Amino acid sequence: MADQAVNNTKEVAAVRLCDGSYFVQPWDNNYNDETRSRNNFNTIPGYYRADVEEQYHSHPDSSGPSHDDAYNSYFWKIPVNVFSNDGNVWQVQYNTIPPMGMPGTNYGTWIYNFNLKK
Amino acid sequence: MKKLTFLILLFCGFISLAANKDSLLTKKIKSFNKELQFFMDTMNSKHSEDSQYLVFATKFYDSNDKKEEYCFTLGYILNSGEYSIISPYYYYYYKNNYVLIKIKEAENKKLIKQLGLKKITKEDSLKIINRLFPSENGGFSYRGKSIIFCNDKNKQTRTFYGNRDEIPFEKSILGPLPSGIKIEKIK
Repeated sequence: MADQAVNNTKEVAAVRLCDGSYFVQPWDNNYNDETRSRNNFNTIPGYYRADVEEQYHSHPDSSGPSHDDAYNSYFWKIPVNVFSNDGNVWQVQYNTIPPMGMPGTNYGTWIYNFNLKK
Repeated sequence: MKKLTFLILLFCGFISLAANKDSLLTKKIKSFNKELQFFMDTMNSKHSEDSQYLVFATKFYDSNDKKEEYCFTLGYILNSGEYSIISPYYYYYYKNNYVLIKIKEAENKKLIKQLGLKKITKEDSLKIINRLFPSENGGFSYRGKSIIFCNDKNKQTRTFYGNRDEIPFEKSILGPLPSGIKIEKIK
C-alpha cells in the first residue's frame, strides 16, 4: 500500500479480514481516481461483511486522513488506515475516548479563487 | 399640503425599500440557480462513473439584506451514512435532483418561499438515502469538492475547494466529527 501511494496516481483500497488475509478492492466501473476509491464489503469472495476488520487505502498525495475517512471509520466501526505518498501512515479509529482533533492532517489543496464579473 | 407631501415621500420610500429587497431576493435566487447548475455540471463530469450516487447539498449563511450580502456553500455526498451528518430540514427539487438544504428558517422565510423549498418528509429522506451508496456495504473513501459563493455590493466571488475539509464547519455542508474519533500518525 505504501508503494501504491508513491507509484500509483489513483487511490487503491484494501481490507484486512478476520483470518489475517487481505483483499484488494477492485477498480470496477472505473470508480477510482486520485481522490477517491470504492469499498464494497459485501462482494468479497468467501467472506461476509462481518469478516472485515480493518480498511486501508492510499493517498497519492501527502494528505493525511480526510473527514470522510473519519466518518467512514465511524460508520463502519473499524479502523481506517491511510498511506500518504510522503511515507506517513495514519490510522483513524472510532472508539469511546474523547476526540483528539486531527493533528498534522492536511486538509487538501486550495485550488483557485476568482472574481466573477457582475 | 406639507403633510401630504411627507406622507407620499414616506410611502415611496417604503415601496422602494420593498422593491430593493425583492430585487435582492431575485438576484439571490438567480445566482443560486446559476452556481448550482455550474457545480452540478462540473461534478457530474468529474464523477461520470459514480454520478448515480451524487446527492448535492447547500448551506446558506452570512445573509445581510441591508449590505446586500449573502453566501452559500455547494457540496455533495456519495455515501448513505453522510445523510445523517448533513441532517437537512429542507430540499430543493432541481432538474430531477434532490438538493439538500441547510438554512436558518427564521432569517430566510422569503427565500424559502420563493425558491419553493420543501420540508423533507420520511418518504423523501428514504428516496434520497436509497440514491446514495449504502454505507453498511462499504462506500467511497473520497475527498469531496465544494464551492463557496459570496455576494456583496461590489463583487461576487466563487471559491472552488478541491478538498471540502478546508472549509470551516460554520460554512461547511457537513457537521462536526462524531465524538470518539481518534486519529494518530502510526509511522
